[in-house]
Amino acid sequence: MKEIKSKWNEYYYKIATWTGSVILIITGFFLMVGKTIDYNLSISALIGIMIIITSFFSYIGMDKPKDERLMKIGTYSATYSWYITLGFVSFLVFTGYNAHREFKGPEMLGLTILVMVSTMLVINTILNLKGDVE
Amino acid sequence: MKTRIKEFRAKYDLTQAELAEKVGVRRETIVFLEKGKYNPSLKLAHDIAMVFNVKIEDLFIFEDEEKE
Repeated sequence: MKEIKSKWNEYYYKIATWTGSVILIITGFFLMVGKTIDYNLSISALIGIMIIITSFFSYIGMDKPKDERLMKIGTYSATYSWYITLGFVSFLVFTGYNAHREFKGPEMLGLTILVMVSTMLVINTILNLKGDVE
Repeated sequence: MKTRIKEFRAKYDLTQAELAEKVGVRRETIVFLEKGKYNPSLKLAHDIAMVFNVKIEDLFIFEDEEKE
């Protein structure tokens, strides 16, 4: 019974993190394309963020039972995701500025959310399938 | 790196989930350890060795290629 409960918790955190991420990716995409924030987008962004916040630390093994492998993978994927986002978004903004293409706030926010969440999920999944970061 | 965790687990009649619970990790980590795909921390290696009452070097076998 305890084993089933523990497995269910694992699945719950995975499903919650993926659901929250998909909501944020879709919201980010619409923010980027629409270049404006409306009521629906702000609510979906809030829902996505709330779901991720409540499940993310368990997903990367920082909640009980703590898991060193998942923590290691989670830390690596968050670092790489931050690094890629910083590089990609900065490159886009500065090259866009030089080409006289200015980005609006919601567009930038959407792009940042989209790149950050998707790269983190992809890297986390790849490392998780591989088993280790080395 | 090869491990003898599976062998010792069978000897002590422990499931992966039971061993995971004893050493405070998730079952998936034990799966990857047994496959030799994950290099554990010294603490985890020590904890697993303690469960089986053996030395760490009896449980984990480092191959020559990795030493180089």
